[in-house]
Amino acid sequence: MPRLLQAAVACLLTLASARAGAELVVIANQASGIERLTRDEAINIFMGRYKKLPSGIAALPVDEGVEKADFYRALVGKELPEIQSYWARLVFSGQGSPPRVMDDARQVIETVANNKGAIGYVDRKNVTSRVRIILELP
Amino acid sequence: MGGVYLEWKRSVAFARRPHECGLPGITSIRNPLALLLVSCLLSCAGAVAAPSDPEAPVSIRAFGTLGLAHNSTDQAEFVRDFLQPEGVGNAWSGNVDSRLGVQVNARPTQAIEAVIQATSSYNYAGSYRPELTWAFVSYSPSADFKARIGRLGWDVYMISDTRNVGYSYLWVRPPVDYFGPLQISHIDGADVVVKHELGGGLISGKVYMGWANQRVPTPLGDDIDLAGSRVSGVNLGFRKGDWQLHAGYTAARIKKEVPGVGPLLAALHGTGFPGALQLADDVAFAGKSIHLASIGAVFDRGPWQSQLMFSRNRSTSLVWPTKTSGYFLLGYRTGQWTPFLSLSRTRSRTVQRATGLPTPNPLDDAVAVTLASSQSRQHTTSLGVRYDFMRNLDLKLQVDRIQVQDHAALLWRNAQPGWNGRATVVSLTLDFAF
Repeated sequence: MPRLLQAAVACLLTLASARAGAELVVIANQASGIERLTRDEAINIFMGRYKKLPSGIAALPVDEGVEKADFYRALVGKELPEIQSYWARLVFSGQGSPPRVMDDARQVIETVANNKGAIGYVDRKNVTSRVRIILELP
Repeated sequence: MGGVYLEWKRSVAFARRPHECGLPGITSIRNPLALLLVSCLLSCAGAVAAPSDPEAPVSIRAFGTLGLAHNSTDQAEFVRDFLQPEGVGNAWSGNVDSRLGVQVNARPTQAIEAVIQATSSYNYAGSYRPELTWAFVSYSPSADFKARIGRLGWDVYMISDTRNVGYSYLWVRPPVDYFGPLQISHIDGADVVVKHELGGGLISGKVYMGWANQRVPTPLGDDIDLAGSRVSGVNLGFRKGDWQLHAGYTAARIKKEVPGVGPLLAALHGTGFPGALQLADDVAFAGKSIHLASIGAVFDRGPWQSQLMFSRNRSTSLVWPTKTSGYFLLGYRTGQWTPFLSLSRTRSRTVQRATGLPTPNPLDDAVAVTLASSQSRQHTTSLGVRYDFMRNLDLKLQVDRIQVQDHAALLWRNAQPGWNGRATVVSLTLDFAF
């Protein structure tokens, strides 16, 4: 195997293992009335465009400080400064506020478990039975 | 100053538990009253927001721009928009783009929100006197419906109600050819937005109505007072995937006369000549309507972002001739850098009218001067880069090559008769939003 190809494969493997460390899933309350969320619906909710769950109740998205960059990269292909810039437009035209940022996965799960319309995202390994997975992000 | 607001916002955002309601980093506020106010707000936010509350009940945010702009010509002064009384000649100026805004949001219940925003920029008064730009209460019982009442930003074109927020776009300033002629930044009134999911996309409609309440400087002399002018409009939007489409229509009915044309109108009336009387009616601004129609598309995928907008700004007064304007923006992000290209242009319809009195006469000359000063025909090619070097902060560098045709320089101040219409404007800005 040519050396360049070897290096490329090694590089890909490293990347893959790094990504495998955080498999992000979108979670909802057990009483939210929804089993699944489409990617477009998730975009509408987290980007503040249409904050409603398919079951009809108001969606309350929350962010998570550690996974935020990876989440938005996976959801809309945007980096954090672009997300911040996007929200500046909405916030300062009185169209809404960005999701509140939680400190860690534990707090996200706590929030989602306690609020019927709340949705958040965590690494799959942190999911507990108090919440349900409604969307997997590759 | 920005640092103070930064700490305000942080403190509110981080004061989640009641026992954490200290004043981290607010040592820079020396005014005891301000300190009291801030600590009061913080304790409110801290007390109400439990750790697992999905929404903060109170937030304080700020945006701002520190800018420097340089114009290559000393034959005309460059302004950012119609609201600035004087601009920058062949020199550097911080007045063109520098601005600061502070906003407080309060959400007593999930359906009700109150928002207040004050903005300071170099304005009609020739100073940074702050203006109340937003002050409204909104009611949104569901995601499909939102009604707002109070003082609202003027949502006449896409992004027109956030044209002060540099952090929210790529340019140093929105294209002057397109946004420069806008005389109104906010209205006192109400709007209603309805949204509906349609074919995997999101359709939205907005209706608004209100009254302008501000002063606009004019090359014709004293400020135009727009107070009492009624403004109403409708916007339609469709958003699906990477695409966003927009169409809007607004009508404004002008209440008061442009003071600068007062003497001319009086002189025309004074002749008693039918042609002159008719011309006075056509020149008058009071009682006339302005109609603004716009369409546009936004494409936003991964590192790419692009916008294309067109507008037609028509009026029934000769001092506000019909203008057609458009711009195109294309940007591509690579790491923290986003280089962009922006093209824009505006053309106003040429108007020539005479009294019908025997020529030459001074009245026809005065009419010609007034009509000529109302003309705007120019195009701009801009190249720039936005550098997102830190969280909530960006640096921008932009070069504009501007060509004014036929000396139609409404969007400039003090244009000299001998000016060839060319200018290069170099701008450097630091934007923030917290």
